[in-house]
Formats: sequence, structure tokens, C-alpha cells
Amino acid sequence: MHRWKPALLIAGLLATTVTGCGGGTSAPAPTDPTTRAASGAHRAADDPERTLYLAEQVLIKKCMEKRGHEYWVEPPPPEDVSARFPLVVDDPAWARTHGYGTDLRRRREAEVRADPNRKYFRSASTAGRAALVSDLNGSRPQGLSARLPNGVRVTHSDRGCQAAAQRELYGDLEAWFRATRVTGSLAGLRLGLVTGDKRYKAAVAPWARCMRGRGHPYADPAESRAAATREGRPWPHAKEVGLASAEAECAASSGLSDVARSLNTEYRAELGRRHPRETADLARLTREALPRARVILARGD
Amino acid sequence: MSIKRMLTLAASAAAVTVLLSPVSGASALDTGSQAPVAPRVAAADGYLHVYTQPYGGGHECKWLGNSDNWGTCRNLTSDIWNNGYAGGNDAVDLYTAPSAGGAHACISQGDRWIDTTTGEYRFTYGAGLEQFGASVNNNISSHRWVDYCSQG
Repeated sequence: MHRWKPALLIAGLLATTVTGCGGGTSAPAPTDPTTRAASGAHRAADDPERTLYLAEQVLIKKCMEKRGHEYWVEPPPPEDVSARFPLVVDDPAWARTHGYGTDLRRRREAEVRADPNRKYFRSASTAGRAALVSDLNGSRPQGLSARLPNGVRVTHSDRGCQAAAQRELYGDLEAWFRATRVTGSLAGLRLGLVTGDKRYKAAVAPWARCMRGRGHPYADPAESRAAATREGRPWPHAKEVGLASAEAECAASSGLSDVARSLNTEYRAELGRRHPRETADLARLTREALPRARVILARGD
Repeated sequence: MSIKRMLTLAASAAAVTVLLSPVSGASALDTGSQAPVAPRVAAADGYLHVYTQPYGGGHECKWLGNSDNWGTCRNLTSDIWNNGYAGGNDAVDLYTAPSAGGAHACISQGDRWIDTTTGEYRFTYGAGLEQFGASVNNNISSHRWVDYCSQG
């Protein structure tokens, strides 16, 4: 199923930010229909994204059950380090606990392996799997269409339980599909614009000097993160924490953290202006869906 | 074009990379046959499907799990379809280099990019890494199933 975490959703709805695993605290959600302990519980109970996500899951579950399948409500996935710190790790407390978040990724992998929908799917016959995917995704990936900013046309089925759930929750499925796919593709564009900006490059220089002074000769935060998170060559936790902590401390003292934040804000607004329709649609559709979502979760199964 | 045809014939028994994820448990499948031009409904699914030509043309490779190297489809694809099932990782990060190396793009569950030869769709994840900003067409070498497709 689909988990949407577009930055513009947050900006458009409220000024709140999604809380990650800072300090290791987690708040169980009273409206959460699933009884499984979930790393998704890192978010506050009334977080709009969480509410919308769970409501969609409940609708999908009902739809799949009507078609004769078992389906378990998926908990919202935890925020990945690339979402929490898109450019530079700048939270020393988080860095001290998680480094670059490889511990969280390993935990997430274990959760996924134990996921009941995944197990159910993999234990099904070939025909059973075909029916499950067809009933969830739709049998053909056509019906919905959106043209991304750089020209690629992305399509998706307008049938199936996921589409039906989104139609019920958001009302205008076509607009929802366009809004989410277009704004979702803007995040990567934004980061490219930020890192290409000479103000960012100028701010990286003192950061790199600070890092070098601590014995970490990396040219930019992309390099340091890549070094610590290379696939198949895991670092000892203490080493990962050491580098991430230095990165965070240097990000603060050099001013890179502030520059990155302000450039992110500036380019987010700029890209929103370049795509006004999808940006506005995303904010409006999520705002209008929230009361529906609360009703869906309140009445339960 | 003729080289592609040679590769297709020579590799027909191994067109699909063996699943490398330790938790997948599924076996390698032979999809060396030429796919018809029209997009067709797969017999079984939950796969990431890729095609060497747009609109389901050329030959197809597909995976239930991750792949470190797209083999006969490596750097040759123009049509990507994520037909994964629910259960955690159902989005796919598409990497320019083998073993999840370099910059990547991401395709969400149920989405299809039926023709990446049009426009200039780029690897938009991995600022600072190899091929960041380059076109994804004929430029993908490996993939990983992930939780979702948005960042920051």
C-alpha cells in the first residue's frame, strides 16, 4: 500500500513536523486499530499523516476482506534518516543514539520480515498471489495518469482496494494521484537545487574544515553519510555514532545547519510556486480528508 | 539493437536475476521470452517488472526481492512497473550502479513508468553521488525494495 510523506503535505496542513525517534520515546496511539507494537508509534496519536494513513489501511482491509482475503492494517512506517535529515544530520542527541540510523533500518527490516501481510502473500499459491495483488493494486496499471515535472508519465490502476480506499478518503482520486506523484517528485528536485546552490557550497566549506579538524576528512555531508552507511560494509555502532555526532556538531558550529534549513524552505516554496495546482490540491485534499479519516478510525471495524 | 537481440537470445535461460534478499525464499524465474508490445497482466505477481523497450516491449526482467545486478536488463530499461504487494517494503529504489550504488530514483507501489525515453526523468535521490541528475532511461543497474518514496 502507499505511504505518502510529501513535505508539502506537512507544510500545507499544519506547521508541525513529524517527530522521529528522538530520545527513544514512543507514544501509543489510542486510535490505533492495530495492537501490534509498532515503530510507527513514534508519532503523536493525533498526527494528521498517521490518521490518514491508518484510515486508508482500515478501508483497504475491509475491501480485501470482502474479496475473501485476510489483510492486516499496516502501521505507518518510521521516518527514514533520509527524510528526517535530507541533507545533513544536525541533531546531536539523535546522532548520539542512532548515528546515521542504520540501527533503525535494521529494526525496520526485522519488522518487515515479520509482517503478516508479507507472510500471507508469500505462503499463497501462484494463483493466490495473483488475486491478492490484483485485488489490492488493480489488475492493470492504468486508469490514473500524471505527468511528472521532468516529463515521465506515471500511471496506476484506478481499480483495486487501494484506489477504492483513496477514492473514499480523498474524494477526487485523479487529483489525489496527480498531487501526490508530482509533489513527491519535487523533494528530490529540491535537494538537487539546494546542493547546487552556491550558498550551500559556501556553507559546506567551514563544515568540512571543522570535520577535518576532528579527523574526518569528508568534503560534504553526502560523503560522510555514504561512508558510514555503505551496503555490505557496516560500521561498528560506536564508529557510526562518532562520525554522525561530529557531523551534527560541525553542522551547528559552521552554520551549515541553518543555511541548509533556509535553502530548503526557499526552494520548497519556489517549487510549490512552479506547481501551484498540485501543491494546492495536496493541501486541500488532505485537509478535507482528515475529518473523514477520524470517523473511519472512530467507528472501527 | 542487434547486440540487444543477441543478449536476449544468449541469456534467455537467465533473464531474471536470482533473488538476493535472504528473506525472499523465492526461486529464479525464466522470463527470457519476448514480451508482447501491449502491457499484459502477469500470471503471478508481487514483482517489480522492467522492460527493455517502452510499452512492455523488448524483453522483460522481474524480481520478487532485491537485485544487485539487473543482468540482461542492466542499463537497458525503458519501462518500469512496481506491482509489489503490501507488507512493509513496497516502494522500489532504482539505482544507477550495481549493488545499490550511486544515485537512485524511486517508484511507488502500483505505479508504472511505461516510457522513460520521453522527457528527462532523472535520478533525484542521492545528491552528490554518481549519476545524480542523469536520466534513468537505459541507466538502472540494481534495486532495493523500501518503505516509501518521499524524502524530506
